[in-house]
Amino acid sequence: MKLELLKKGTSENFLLKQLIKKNFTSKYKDSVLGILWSFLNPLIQMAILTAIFSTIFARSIENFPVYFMAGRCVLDFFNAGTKSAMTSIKKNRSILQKIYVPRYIFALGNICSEFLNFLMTLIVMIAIMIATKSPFYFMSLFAVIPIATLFILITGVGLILAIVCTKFTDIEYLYKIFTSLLTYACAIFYPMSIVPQPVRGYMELNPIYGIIAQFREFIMFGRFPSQKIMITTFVFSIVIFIIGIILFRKYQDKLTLEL
Amino acid sequence: MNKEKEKEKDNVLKRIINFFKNIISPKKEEKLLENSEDDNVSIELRHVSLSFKIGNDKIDNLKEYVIRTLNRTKEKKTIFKATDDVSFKIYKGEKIGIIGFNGAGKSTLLKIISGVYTPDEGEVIIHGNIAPLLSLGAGFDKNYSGRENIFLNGAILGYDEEFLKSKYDEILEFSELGEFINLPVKNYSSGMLSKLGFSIATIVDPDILILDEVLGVGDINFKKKSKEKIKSLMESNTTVLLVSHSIKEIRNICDKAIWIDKGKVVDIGEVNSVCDKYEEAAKNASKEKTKKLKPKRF
Repeated sequence: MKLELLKKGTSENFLLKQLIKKNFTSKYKDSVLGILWSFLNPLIQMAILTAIFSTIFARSIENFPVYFMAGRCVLDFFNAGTKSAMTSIKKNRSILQKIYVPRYIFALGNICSEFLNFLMTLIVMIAIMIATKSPFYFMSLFAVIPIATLFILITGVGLILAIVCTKFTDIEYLYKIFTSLLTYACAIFYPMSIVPQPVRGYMELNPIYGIIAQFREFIMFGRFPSQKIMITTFVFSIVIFIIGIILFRKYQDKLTLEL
Repeated sequence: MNKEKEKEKDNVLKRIINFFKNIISPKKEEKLLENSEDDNVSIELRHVSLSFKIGNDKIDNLKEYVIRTLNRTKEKKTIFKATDDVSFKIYKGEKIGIIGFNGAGKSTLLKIISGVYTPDEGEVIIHGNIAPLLSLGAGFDKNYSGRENIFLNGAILGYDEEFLKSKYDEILEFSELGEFINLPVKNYSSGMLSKLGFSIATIVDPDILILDEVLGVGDINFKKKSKEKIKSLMESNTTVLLVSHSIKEIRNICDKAIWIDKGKVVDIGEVNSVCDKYEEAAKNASKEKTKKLKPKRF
């Protein structure tokens, strides 16, 4: 008879669901504007940036609002997901010091609840698409592919950050700077074509830009982006994911001792 | 339609978790003994050691780390051996008391057994299901109601959904919280919190029960109830590990005792003989200390 240590198989599932539920309700429990704010924030940004930039870029970007929203949703998911995974171990140190829970469960739970947030922002994006009469394509359903790549990337980066941030607390602040740089680097509110060539090559290497570009191709034009970009971003994400897992496996136990 | 969607979500989640589990924590799988050599062994520790690195200055940010490394003023850390080459076997159904002075390493040992700490060396082999009552109410979310916290805390302890749902009424009744169960936990008194934590943690019928000085929570009535509950848990063939400073309690409840001092196993054997030796040593130690306190003559 195989006996299990601490009855783990099915209950990790349940724990994950509970954590996601907790994150979700605690975010929106006391604030009436809570849910509304997650929608309002990108909407207001979009309105302002459309007013400023849409005429300048009218030739390269036909539908500025949707162009912006697609990028904004993806980037918000990346930023929020990695940020919450990063602080997950630190914030839950009291639980980790008292009882055995799989170490990755907090990070994974946070990333999953941010994913649910992402799905909600997609609803806003679809509303904008309807408002700006942007056509819907059947191929757009394949946008799941870059989203899956994004999820893998976020998990990889999240795990790496969780380990590093638990050891060095100021990584949190450095990462904040990094994410704001990312907002400019990912060509959310301008077309990539305006960037001069040597710099442009480097910026296109950014996997998040790759994911956003793929996502836009699917959603706005209903066509498959180039194979090269899909494969390179996927490989990049998998590599980061593997690095994240290796790092996490190596240091997770040592970290609990130092919490 | 809803049930199907839920099942789908469940399956996807299950797949994600199993995938992660296999990749991130394969070590835990090694602890499954497939050919149970000693079918009666409940817990076995083989040469388990654990050290903590203690430094005076906690360098916990990158800036300090870089500056110190460059200046070569990185502090030398002391290595404190909390658990030193501990080995013992505990058989099913035994009631074991763990005694020792403060700081001897008892709680660390319990944490190693329940999986919170991973030892640097040695193996920990566990057969069966552990209910660690090391601290009640782990992970209570203050804004959640008592009801929701039962599920959250239960999930953290490792129970699954159907089990918690079926035992929900029992937990509610045992905790004597009544209507308060629907209010957010931040409104509870500390006694209510411990009652709730205790009810959730003891509702299971574990193979191994670990108690770290938790026999004293709640008011008189609840204390009585909790003692009875623990007695009933112990009556079934549950292995019990009890840490307590009350030697009387240990003599009462346990049949064997392990005496830990400075991370090592000093003695392990029948409860009364070990407790007697421990009390002897305690008397001598306090004599030494009072000797040192006597004022010197000039």
